[in-house]
Amino acid sequence: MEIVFIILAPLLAIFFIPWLARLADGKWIGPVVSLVPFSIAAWLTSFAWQQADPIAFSMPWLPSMDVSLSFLLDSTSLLFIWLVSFIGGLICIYGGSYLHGDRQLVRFFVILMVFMSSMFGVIAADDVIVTFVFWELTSITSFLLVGYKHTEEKARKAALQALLITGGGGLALLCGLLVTAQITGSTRISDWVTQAEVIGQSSNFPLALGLILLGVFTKSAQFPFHFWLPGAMAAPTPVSAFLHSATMVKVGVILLVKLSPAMAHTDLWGWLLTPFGAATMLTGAIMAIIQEDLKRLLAYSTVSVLGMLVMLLGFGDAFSLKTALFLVLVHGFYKGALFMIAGTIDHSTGTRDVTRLDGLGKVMPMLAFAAALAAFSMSGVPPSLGFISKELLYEKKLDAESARLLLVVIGVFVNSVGVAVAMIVGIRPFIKTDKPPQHIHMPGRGLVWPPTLLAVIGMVLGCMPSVLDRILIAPAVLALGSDPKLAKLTLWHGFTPVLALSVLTLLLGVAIYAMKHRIRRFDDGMSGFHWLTPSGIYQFSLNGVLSLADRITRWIQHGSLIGYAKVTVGGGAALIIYAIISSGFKWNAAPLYQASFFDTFLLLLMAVSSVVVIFSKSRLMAILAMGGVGYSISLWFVAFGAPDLAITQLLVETLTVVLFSLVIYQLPKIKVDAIRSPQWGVMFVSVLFGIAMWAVSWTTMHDQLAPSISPGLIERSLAEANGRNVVNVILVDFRAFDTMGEILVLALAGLGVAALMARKRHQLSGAFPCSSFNDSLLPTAVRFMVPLQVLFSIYLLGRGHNLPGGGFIGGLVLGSAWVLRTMVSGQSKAPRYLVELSGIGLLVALGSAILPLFVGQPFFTGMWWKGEIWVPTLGTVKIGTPFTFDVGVYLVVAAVSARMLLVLLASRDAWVSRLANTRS
Amino acid sequence: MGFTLSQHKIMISQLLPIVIGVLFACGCYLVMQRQLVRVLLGLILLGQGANLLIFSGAGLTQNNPPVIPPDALTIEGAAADPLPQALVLTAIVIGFAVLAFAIALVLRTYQKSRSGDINTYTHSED
Repeated sequence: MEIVFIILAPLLAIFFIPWLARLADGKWIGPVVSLVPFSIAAWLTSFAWQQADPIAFSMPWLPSMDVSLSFLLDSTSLLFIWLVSFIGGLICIYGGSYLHGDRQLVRFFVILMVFMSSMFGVIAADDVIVTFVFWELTSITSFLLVGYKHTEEKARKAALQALLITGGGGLALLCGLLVTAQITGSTRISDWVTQAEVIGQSSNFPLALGLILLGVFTKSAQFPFHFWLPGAMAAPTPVSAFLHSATMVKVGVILLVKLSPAMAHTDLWGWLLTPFGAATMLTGAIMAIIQEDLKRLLAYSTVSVLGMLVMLLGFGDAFSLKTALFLVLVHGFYKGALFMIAGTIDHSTGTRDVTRLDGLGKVMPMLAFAAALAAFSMSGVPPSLGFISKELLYEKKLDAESARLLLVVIGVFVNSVGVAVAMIVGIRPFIKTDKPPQHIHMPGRGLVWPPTLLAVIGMVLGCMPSVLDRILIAPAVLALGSDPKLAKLTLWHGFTPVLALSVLTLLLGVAIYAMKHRIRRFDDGMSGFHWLTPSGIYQFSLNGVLSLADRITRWIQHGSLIGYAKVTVGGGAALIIYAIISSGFKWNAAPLYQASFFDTFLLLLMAVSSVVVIFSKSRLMAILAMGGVGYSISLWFVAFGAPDLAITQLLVETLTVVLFSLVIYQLPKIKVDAIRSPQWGVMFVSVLFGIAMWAVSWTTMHDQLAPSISPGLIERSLAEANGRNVVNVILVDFRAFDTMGEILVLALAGLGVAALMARKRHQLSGAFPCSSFNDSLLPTAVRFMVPLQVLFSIYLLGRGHNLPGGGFIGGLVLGSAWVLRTMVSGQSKAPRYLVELSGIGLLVALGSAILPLFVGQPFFTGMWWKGEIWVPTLGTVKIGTPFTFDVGVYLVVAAVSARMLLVLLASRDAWVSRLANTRS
Repeated sequence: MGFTLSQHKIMISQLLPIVIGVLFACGCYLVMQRQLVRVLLGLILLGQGANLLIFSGAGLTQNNPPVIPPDALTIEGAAADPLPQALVLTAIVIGFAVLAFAIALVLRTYQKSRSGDINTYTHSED
């Protein structure tokens, strides 16, 4: 449980950050936030001191895939978490001072805390899926921190580059981990360790290891993916010091350490890690010398050390393992310190160019002292920690049997470059006094003390390495199943070849330092070969991918609506046809329903009318043909036992024709040339779609795919819902929730039409009786007809539950009555408050649905009043919530249909009057 | 009372799918036109085709509406399937509302841009 708290602690701290940033101008944010990692580090120290038992935590996460949130705090993860939290605490203090006054200070600390939490997670995770999640979290937080100065294009590019490379590697890692999980049947690393033999013998192991290493190499900046790390120096220096030297770039190495008990025994492990590590080591070293920017210089030397770590782990023995763990710790100390020092120099002088920094020692003695200590540690001058690690390294290399001489030479060269780098960063800016420093802005305590502390601790621990060994290193090695006694951490090894090599390294380093100008000049001559470098290849392939994506986007997203429709409809039709054929299309199904002359006539009328619509050159012709289709369909409904549908269709068809005739002359004319020259592509897609729908219709007519629920509905209609018209009972009772949604859509469509056609009030209120109705016969007739229509609509509503009729039909009749009246008598007689009426209708319907809730019944339960009432022409009628619901439907349908037509009528009248005005 | 054409009986299960296919094809063709008026017409045809398809999908029964006769407790014998009827009934009314909305949209667009051709609409805000 403690381990979960450690992982969550930085996240909890986030809640206080905004408040701290406001307090005392953000002065205390760094020190206060640092308490979190420091207390974790302190707790871990006592935990390690007591040699307590490992703490395991596990909680099911995806039980179906056997993935659990399992974490393990053993000596190995303790070592790394301790390093992260200790340096993290110093970075909080340092970062608070470094970014003091920055407007995005809160953002910085929040991301930093998330990063810290994900670091703890990736270190402690035992489940590989969880490892991957935290791994990617570190990549994402790194992306956010590298791009911290997001207004600068350089920072954005560097952040994206880091994310693409580490994120892409992360995906490879996931695949590799999954392959290994497939081999072992478990996603726990602790299970993998017990199955080391199985893993090694599997034929999929090379694939798994290759993918895992792709992730590790990208994350830990191994050649040829190393170039993102120097680019990431665009981040603020506290970030570079923390993520890109001490912690995040080590995640790959840490994963290798965790996996080494399960995989290091294979030949492939060594064959892949050692050469890549050595190559990285060399590349980093060579590139480091030619840099003039302090941070890039340090970044390349970090690359070099990362290579060294990978190479050591590649050897796969206990001695190398211990050396590697020690080197991780040592490097974190001196490189973290040097980065912070570089940042302080940048902060106070405004430059990181090593050729322009001089004589800072006089101005900043404390910083000079810290720099010297860190530089000594880096160069391996006794009694520093760096010296011990270098001695171990040489001892290992002299011991390595294969390619012994080559490794020694490479090792000495790389370490000499380390010495030179240490001198360039840690010594030279402080001592040389060609040009005395100007415009120096003295750094605050927060910028000086953290690096000093780190450097001093490095030196102190160097004097008593056995303590470090006993508490942190040796238990970690033991936890990994290796013998920690093979390598001894001592300051003095005696006069051995190893010591001679150390001395040689120091001398060579000084020589390289002296020659650095000549080396840089050589590099300038090589700049024409940039495209050959991994960074150049990355740029080239990135540009290639982007332009390919651009071309594909232009090809697919061409902007033509019809083009999109063609692909969508054509593809959909093809899918439908494929689905029907593959599920066994019944070509020779027995024909059903012998057609009468009337049926055949109706069907042919529909088909012919719809073809006529396509070829009609005038708008009026098209609308008449449309009407032909609609009225035929309503007759079809009559013929096949659907009186409700027939009435509805008839009413709607009439209203549609009225609707079109209102707006027809305001609509654009049909262009004849479009009819004369048919578009073959559209025609092909349409025919394909028609065939698909024919096949669907054929299949549904001949096949009953599932037993019908209708007999049950008919059975229950009178018994449970007191209705004889089953269609209406379904609408207002059995499936009333559907109907509720539908009348809501209606109301919204009505609002939409009104909003689209909204006009200024004076245009609406003008009375324009339609000119064609100006004879006296029709208005007189309408005056008698409209009240009759209203009465009839109520009659339809009332009888709907038992006979054809109902809210929809009644509503349409009422709506058309209102429209007719307005058409004849002008806008001044138009019914008002139609929007409100549709709202009331919705409320009535909703009320009928809610009412049962008050008596503990479910939503939409039909509730009936026990008695019956007698209504003229209808006889005895039962009253219940389904009926009141139907009243709601009636009101909504009437209000919406009338409102729509009236709005368009108003638009037409305005148009007519405008036309009249322009003529006169 | 079967209607025959040169000795072959015409069956609804063979003719109706063809008519539905024709309605859909014509509607689809019109929807994919550049002129908005024809797009509107296509929209209606597609709706009609869909209604017909749903209505006939559950099988057809001539002349017997799903209404329980007076003095009976349930329908004896074959009756038309009420469920697709309920679905189609709301679909017809909603189809009308959508059509009115589409007409208003077209009208407004035409008033603003003085063009009924969708290829001339290149800006979202005019």
